[in-house]
This record gives sequence, C-alpha cells and structure tokens, in this order.
Amino acid sequence: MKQTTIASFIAIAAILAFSTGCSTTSVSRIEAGGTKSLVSQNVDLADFKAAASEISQIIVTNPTFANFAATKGRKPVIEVGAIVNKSDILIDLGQIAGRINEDLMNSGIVNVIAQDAGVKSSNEEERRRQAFESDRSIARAPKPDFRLEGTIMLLTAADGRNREKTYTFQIRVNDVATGFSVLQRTVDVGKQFRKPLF
Amino acid sequence: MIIKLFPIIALAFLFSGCARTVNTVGNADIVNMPNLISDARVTTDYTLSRKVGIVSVATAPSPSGLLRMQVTVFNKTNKIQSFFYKVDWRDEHGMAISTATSGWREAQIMPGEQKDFTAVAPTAGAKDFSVKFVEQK
Repeated sequence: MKQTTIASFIAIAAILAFSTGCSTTSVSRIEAGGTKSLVSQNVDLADFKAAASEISQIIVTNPTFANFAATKGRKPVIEVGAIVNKSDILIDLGQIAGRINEDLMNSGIVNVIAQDAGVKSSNEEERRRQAFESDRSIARAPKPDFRLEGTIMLLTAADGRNREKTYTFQIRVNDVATGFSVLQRTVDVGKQFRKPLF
Repeated sequence: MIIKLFPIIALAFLFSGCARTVNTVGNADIVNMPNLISDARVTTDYTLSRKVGIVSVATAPSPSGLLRMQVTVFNKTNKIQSFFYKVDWRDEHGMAISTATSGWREAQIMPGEQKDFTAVAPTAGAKDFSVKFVEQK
C-alpha cells in the first residue's frame, strides 16, 4: 500500500515537472517567408512579398513609365500614397507599400518621392535656405507625376467547417495631372482551412 | 461471378474517377513564339522532376529595358502538385541581387496542366537568372 502511494506520488511529480518547469521552448531560425514559414489563415510575409513583387513588376514594365523618359527627358516621379485596408485584420501597410517602394526605387526606371519625415523637413529647410541666399522665392517640393494608391479587400466563403478567405490587393497608379488611372493590378491571395470542432 | 468481379470493377472505377486532368486547346498556328533559350539544369530531387517537368525557358525584353523571363512547367502526374519556386537574379558582374520581394513562392499545378511562371529583372543590369524548385511536403 505504502509502495503504491510513493510510486503514484513520484509519477504525479514527474508529470507536473515535465508539463511546467522542465520543458524548454525550442526556437530555430528560419528564412523569413521561406519554405519553413508557418502559413497563417490571414496574409503573411510570403503573401506580402508575392503581391508586392507582382505589382512592382507590372509597374516597371508598363509602357507608360518606360516611354516617359523618352518623351519628357526625365524619369517619372511616383509617390506611394495611401493603401486602404478594408479587410478584417490589422495589416501593417508598410509591409506592402514599403516593398513596392523599394523595388520601384531600385529598378532605376522611376524616381520615388521620399516619405520619411526627416527628409521632408530637411528638404524644406534646404529650399528655404537656398531661397534666402539667392533672394528668390522658395522652390517647390518635388511633385509626383503619378500616385500609387490601393485597397486591400477580403472575401470569405464557408462550407460546413471549411472556410475560405481571399485577400485582394488592388493597386492603381493614377496620373496626377490628368486624373486618369494609367494602371491597375489586382492580386488575389487565397487561404483555405478547416475550422476546429471546439 | 458478378460478386467476384465487383471489387475489380470498384477499384477500376475508383482509379479512373480520381484522375481529373487538364485538357488544353489554343490556336494551332502560333503567331508570337517566345524566344526560347538553352538552359542549364541541375537536378537533385528526381522525385519532383519526374512529377513536374520543365518544358522551356524563354526571355524577352520589356519596354523599360528590364529582362523578362518565363519558365514553362508541366505536371506529368494525375494529381495536383504543390511546390515552391524561387527566381534569383545576377547583375552585370555576376553577383546575386537581393530584393525586398524576392523569396520562395508557393505554386500549384493541375494534372496535365502546362503553366508559365514569369519574373522581371529587378534592374536593367540583371541579365542572368536561375529558377529553383522544391517540392512541398
């Protein structure tokens, strides 16, 4: 009887130790958005990368921007504007806008207006200083030829416990002077999963 | 006799019913043929290459001067195949170019489907590329 009690006590203590303090969380480094990344029900890094890549590739190969330099003698200036999130999740829009911005900038096809507050204020200071020294009116801030704007939308579907979410990244490039849209690209990201019973 | 044949008929029905392959039709006289280029292949996963075969590799310049590439693959099996692919670019000095959007992409291809994967060079100097494929487990 006594032996059974001791054995039970040891077993319970061992289970408690294993389930609480003794187990350590194993962490490993992975390639961000790579083949080992977890696939979430919502948009994840791999989706942002894929959508941004597709959008920036369509912009840099579009004849409007390719022929701009030949007709105007300079690269087109693009301003990455607002991307409105109409989906059900909180998205850091910098994940998509920042990546498009970076790819456009590094392509050498277009000039991108800097959005950082520091650059904006120092540019303003520089323009004021130059205007004071040259006794001329203040030079204007760089004006964009095109403005990139977009929307992120969500479409859901359900069949029993099966759920489907489609995130739509819709990006438009608008001509600031004419007000016409010169390009629109829609990228869909679909996710399907089974809702747990409990 | 019919009872003995029933499992065989059921099995035949099962196997034939699973295979939903893609039928394709297009114009016979191709007007715009892609500029097919010779490619260099390194195959380490023969399981994947037996399932998804590379049909052709083509390139074309874009209006902006950036090189466009297209890899056409074909699903040789009668099951949907899922895999990752990645396009790497090299600059005029042969050095790898990393971008904010480069990385592994997930793709699916239907049985009997021929699918094109395209990419645009990140800079005008990027003329060399490689496409990697990894089977999704």
